[in-house]
Amino acid sequence: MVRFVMNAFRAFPVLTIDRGAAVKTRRFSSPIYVGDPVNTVRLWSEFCVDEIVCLDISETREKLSSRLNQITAIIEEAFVPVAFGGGIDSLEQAHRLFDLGIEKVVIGWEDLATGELVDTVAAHYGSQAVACCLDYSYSWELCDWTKNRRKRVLHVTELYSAITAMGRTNVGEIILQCIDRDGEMNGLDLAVASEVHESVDVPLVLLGGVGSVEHIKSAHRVGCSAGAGSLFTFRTNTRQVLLGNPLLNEPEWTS
Amino acid sequence: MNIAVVDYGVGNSRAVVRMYESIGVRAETVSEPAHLSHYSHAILPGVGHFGYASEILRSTGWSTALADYALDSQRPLLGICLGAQLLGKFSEEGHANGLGLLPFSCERIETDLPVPNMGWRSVNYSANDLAIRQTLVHHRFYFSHSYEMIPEHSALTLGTFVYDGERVAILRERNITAAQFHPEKSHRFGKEFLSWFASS
Repeated sequence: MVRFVMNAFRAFPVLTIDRGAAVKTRRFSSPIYVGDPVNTVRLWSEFCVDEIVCLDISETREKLSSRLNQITAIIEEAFVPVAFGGGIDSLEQAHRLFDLGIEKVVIGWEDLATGELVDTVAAHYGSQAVACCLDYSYSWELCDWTKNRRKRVLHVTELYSAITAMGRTNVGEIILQCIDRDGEMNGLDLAVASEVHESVDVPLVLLGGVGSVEHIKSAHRVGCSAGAGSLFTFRTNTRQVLLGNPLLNEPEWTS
Repeated sequence: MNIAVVDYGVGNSRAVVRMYESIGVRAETVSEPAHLSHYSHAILPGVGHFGYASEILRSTGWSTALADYALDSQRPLLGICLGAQLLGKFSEEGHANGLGLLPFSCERIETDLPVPNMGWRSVNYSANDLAIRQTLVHHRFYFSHSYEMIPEHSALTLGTFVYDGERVAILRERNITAAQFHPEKSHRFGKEFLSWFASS
């Protein structure tokens, strides 16, 4: 069932940060450098995106305290709301991020205990301030391969029970990131949306595979919002870095 | 013209200064109440708990300085988000008094929709102020709040938005303006709004 309350559809860029640098991956590997995160955020903000989601994907992550300087700089340059995720595993870390001016924290799915952290943060800041990101793949091989890289990846058959569990928490929205489509710019995994809508009543965001504005519209048709990395980062399919906002000329697709 | 953005440790005054810098308007954070009188415009930002912030304003002498600035010298004062709410008389959040510079109070938003109200909303300006309607055309802003401003008389309302009914976005009386949204998070619309304030 497609549910959008009050123009709740959103489309926004997702910035992946690896050890302090803005990067773009393909299927969660082969990161290429796309620039300085602060500069990327400044430009997207100039191009009037409605919000920016920053995800720290570093394998060996520095303590949050050493990343706070960069996050502070990002907040100062962003004239739009910024969400941040990557290694958030305590309410204390969430406090520090909200204090800096982050609007929303993205907590990555690890196990059932993730729900407890989500509920704790939501109790303090409201549901809409907390999103949960579930990374998944249709390939067992990809799941295993990334397992040692400190990134919990679900096989698609495990996805639905994880989502159902999250649906019982006070999470504000669930981001479904399909590794297989990450950076491929071939379209979103729309099939997962219809199955998931049956099991939860939480806003959904599809991430992984957006290569055109048409793909963003396809998310809307299945009742989901859309996150996009490549589309806001590259010039068409050539993967030449040219930051932009393809939605700038499509005002009806902003909320 | 120079704009003071009050820095009282509550909310991100740097972001407001940065937005003014990006449109070429001089603004700076001010942490000393005594310095406020040197500026042509003042902005009170704020994020967090009303009761807590209200006490900070009182104990630091900011409440007196802001009252002098807005009522005595009658220079333009803009409150943003929690800063807007603090310009009123009272808030249910903390059951605390505000600065009492505008006749309104704050109540918790009552609705079946999610609270806090977080997201982009279109703002409609009232017909009363023609100059404003000509300058600030169709605008969207980013909101993030759990309490809303309830004016004592409708003439105070400059702009509204819809979230399960019509709610107050902007209140204004003479030189004092209270904006519930975050212009510093509303990209070009925020810049236009802050630009309008700088020229008022």
